[in-house]
Amino acid sequence: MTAVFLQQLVNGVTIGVVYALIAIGLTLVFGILDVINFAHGELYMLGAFLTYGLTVGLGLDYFLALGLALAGTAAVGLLVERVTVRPLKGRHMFTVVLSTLGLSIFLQNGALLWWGPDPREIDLAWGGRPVVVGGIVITYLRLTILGVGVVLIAALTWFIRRSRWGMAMRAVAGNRDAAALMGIPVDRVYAITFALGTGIAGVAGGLLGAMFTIEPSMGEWAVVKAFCVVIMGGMGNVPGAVLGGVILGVAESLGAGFLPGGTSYKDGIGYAILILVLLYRPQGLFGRRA
Amino acid sequence: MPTARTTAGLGVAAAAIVLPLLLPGTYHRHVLVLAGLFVLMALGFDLVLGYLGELSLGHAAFFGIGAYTTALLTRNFGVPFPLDLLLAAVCTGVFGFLIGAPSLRLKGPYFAIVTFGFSEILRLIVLNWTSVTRGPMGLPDIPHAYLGSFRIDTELRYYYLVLILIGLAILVTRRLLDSTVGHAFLAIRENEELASATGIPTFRYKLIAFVVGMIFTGAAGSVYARYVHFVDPTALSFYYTVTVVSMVIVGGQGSIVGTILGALVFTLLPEYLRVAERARLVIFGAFLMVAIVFLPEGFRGLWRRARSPRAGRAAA
Repeated sequence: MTAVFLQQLVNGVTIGVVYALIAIGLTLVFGILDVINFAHGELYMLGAFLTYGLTVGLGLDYFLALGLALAGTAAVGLLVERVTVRPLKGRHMFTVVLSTLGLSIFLQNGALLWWGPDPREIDLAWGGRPVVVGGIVITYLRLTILGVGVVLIAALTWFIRRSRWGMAMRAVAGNRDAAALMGIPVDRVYAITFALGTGIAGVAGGLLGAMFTIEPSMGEWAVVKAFCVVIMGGMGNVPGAVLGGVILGVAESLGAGFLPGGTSYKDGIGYAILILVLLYRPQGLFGRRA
Repeated sequence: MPTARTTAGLGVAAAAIVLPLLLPGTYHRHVLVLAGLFVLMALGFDLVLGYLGELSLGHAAFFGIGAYTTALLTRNFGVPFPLDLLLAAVCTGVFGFLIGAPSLRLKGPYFAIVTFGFSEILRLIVLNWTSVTRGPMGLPDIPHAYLGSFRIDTELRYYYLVLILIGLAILVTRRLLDSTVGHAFLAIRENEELASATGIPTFRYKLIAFVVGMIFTGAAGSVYARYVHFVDPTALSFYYTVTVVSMVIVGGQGSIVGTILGALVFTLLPEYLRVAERARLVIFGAFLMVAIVFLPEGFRGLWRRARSPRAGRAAA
């Protein structure tokens, strides 16, 4: 029983780290641009397809492919910001919801047209090799996911806390007008934030894509999970999103393992948490009341 | 002014009555029935978005509740026609109350996401509660409606049924908006704190608008189930919510005419885009993006600009 519990816990943490990576971009964009990006899941999907094309198609090393997927999805993110978000600046939040929803439909069905509906797999020779620690099995792939996730989150935290652009991002999040008056190029900060968020989501796609399968509709699922995580952590709160991601991953994994009917309602756990948090702690589990 | 509006309204109504008779073949009439059902849903949605200023992303769930109520009542208990529609409306109203009461305490993005969460939970229940809903297999063989010995079984008859419901919905909306309740809606949309400070029980009025809007939507679901004889969990899918949101925002929120126009365009577009086959939704997505970026006030704004170019530019 404890062995099963610990095994589920470890599996949950691995998935949770990926949830966190997807959610970070969504929460950053919300915190700084005040925009909900409904096409975020499709950038995650593009990251997975990029990683697939580079490893399986071109035979590149998996880690190199992940790096290129980061750059590629970040570049697409720049374009997306330019086309669907910036023209709507100053208009109601709903309009951006709709333009990004349109983009999401466009990208998902475009991918379906281009790549077809069949699921693809990135088969890494070393990925399935197990490490056994005290009766718990962890594959190399899961260790890689954990490692890459932790490194990315640490790097991002450093970037936001210490770098000049990070400082500018925090200033814009705090008070847009004051930041603009101090000479911070707000539009460029928006673009960088957006690209950063989509790039990280792209890596998340490459990571989970190696564990599960890759298909055009995978982003739909991802964006929903990310919403739950963003709400749990408090909208705009990056450390909150990291913790929220891990909590959701673990809750789902344990729920599927131990609740009656857990596997059919596994996805419902996230929604239930989302609703409870919104009703009782809308500032998120870790946020202070605004 | 009101007389001009009444005349225009009567003109549109007359056109709506005659239109299907001029169309060749049943396919176009079928598309019209679908458009009518979407108009009904969109009118319900616009009560919440256009008059309260809140974006609900759970709209499809209420459509689904209406459809499943009718499906279960007719299949299991043989409930006759107007009664199942009424019960579906009541049932959606009750769900509207249960979901609206907690959700409407939230605003903006939080309200949007919590309604989405509720709707997805309902979809999961419908999908997994197989002993009642048969899960993904859906409920087939929903019988046609009878009114006495008059059978509602053709596209044309369904079209007129939907038209009557739309008329009722517009009447209810107009009556609501012209009453103190309507003035309260507008006060809430423009400045909720101020409205609340002047003694308007804002929460109660928001809940009224939400419940009424969901009742329209449930009625659309109920007729839909009768019309296609079949419901499955895709009736609750987010795609329907997106379609309705597009209709109202691109059509022009807070306006009955804009909503109807938007609903027509967004039913006809995907339907007639079927010739493009697999590229259909790609084009749809692109159209949505372009429409939202280039038409700030929706089709209604376009119309206004076309009529008086200078006023349009001043408003933009």
